Amino acid sequence: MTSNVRILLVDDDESNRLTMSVLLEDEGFEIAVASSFAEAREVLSAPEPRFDAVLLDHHLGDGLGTELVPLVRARDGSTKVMLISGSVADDELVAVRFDALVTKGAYFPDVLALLRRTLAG
Amino acid sequence: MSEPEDPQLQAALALRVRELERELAEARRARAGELRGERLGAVGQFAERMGHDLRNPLAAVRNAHHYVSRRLLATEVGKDVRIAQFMALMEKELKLCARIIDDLLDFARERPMLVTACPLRPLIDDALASIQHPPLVKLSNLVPDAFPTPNVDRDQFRQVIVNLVTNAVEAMPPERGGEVQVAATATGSELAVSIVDNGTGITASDLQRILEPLFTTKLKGTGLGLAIVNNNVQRHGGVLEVESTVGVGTTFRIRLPRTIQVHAGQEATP
Repeated sequence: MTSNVRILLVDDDESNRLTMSVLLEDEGFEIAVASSFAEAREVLSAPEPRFDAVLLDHHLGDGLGTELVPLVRARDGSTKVMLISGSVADDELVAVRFDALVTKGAYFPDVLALLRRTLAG
Repeated sequence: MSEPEDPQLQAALALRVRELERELAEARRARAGELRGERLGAVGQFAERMGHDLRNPLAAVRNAHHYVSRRLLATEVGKDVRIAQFMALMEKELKLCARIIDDLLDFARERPMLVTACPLRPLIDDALASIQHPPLVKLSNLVPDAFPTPNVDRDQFRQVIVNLVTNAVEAMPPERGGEVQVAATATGSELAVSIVDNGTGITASDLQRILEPLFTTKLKGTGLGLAIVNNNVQRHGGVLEVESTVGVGTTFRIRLPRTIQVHAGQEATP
């Protein structure tokens, strides 16, 4: 069951944001989107709504997604953090605690399977 | 200029000429190596740039196609045989593009190795299960359950097996099919994993160049697949060998030292 599971998708690439959010909605998730570091920080600074997971692009045009992770953790410790990154060798990734790593440009069925495993874990 | 008549002087001169010729040949080889290195560096930078730039738009197109395909095939229009055929064709070709981009990025970046003890037979099973192959091509895992466990970077080594077996599958004549066997042997100092096919084989001239980056005999290939395989094997401290007979088949052999210095879960240098 994916109804009432709320996901925040943070991605500065408009095409990927649109396709990923529509496909996730099609699977029954409730999706909120942020198109920049600043917009995501604003969403995460508000106490509501609660998110079950945040899909967080690492390289945002105006900041690093990893710098938003402490904000997500402080807001709600049960929210899962899934980082979207081009490389597992990214130096900044070592410093943060995240629940799953999504390869940038991944095919939706693979992302969906990983999301379901992460939410269940 | 006339030659000196002193035989000793003649012999000394001849010796010096041979030495100079040898030094010149060595210098030429070294320069060729430098040029190859510079070329590879430039190719690597270009590959990385291309890969990064193409990955996002391709992902958006591929995921949009996934959505449209799912919706369209559930309608009356989707029952048109050509619609289903062309949607499948688009998916197949988009997947190929994604694989080419993955190859470019794999070639360009040297991610740290994560070397752990990986039982070989399940690793081969996992790799073979991910390879799409025609029904006439049989894939066999001949690695015994009790084979000594190698220390490898699991993802990289799995990719090595997937690339070599995929190449072997593609080398099979479609009308007769064939078999690809993955086998392993162990000696005191090394482990060897062999990928043996009874496909079309490789000509002697292609065999000399087959591990060079950008060399390909495929219609749709970057020529990076085997270069990546070779690089990954070398990063494990191993050696990739190949022998082939046209019309009989090809064997790729990965020879790995049994003692790769590792700390489980840590970056390791073979």
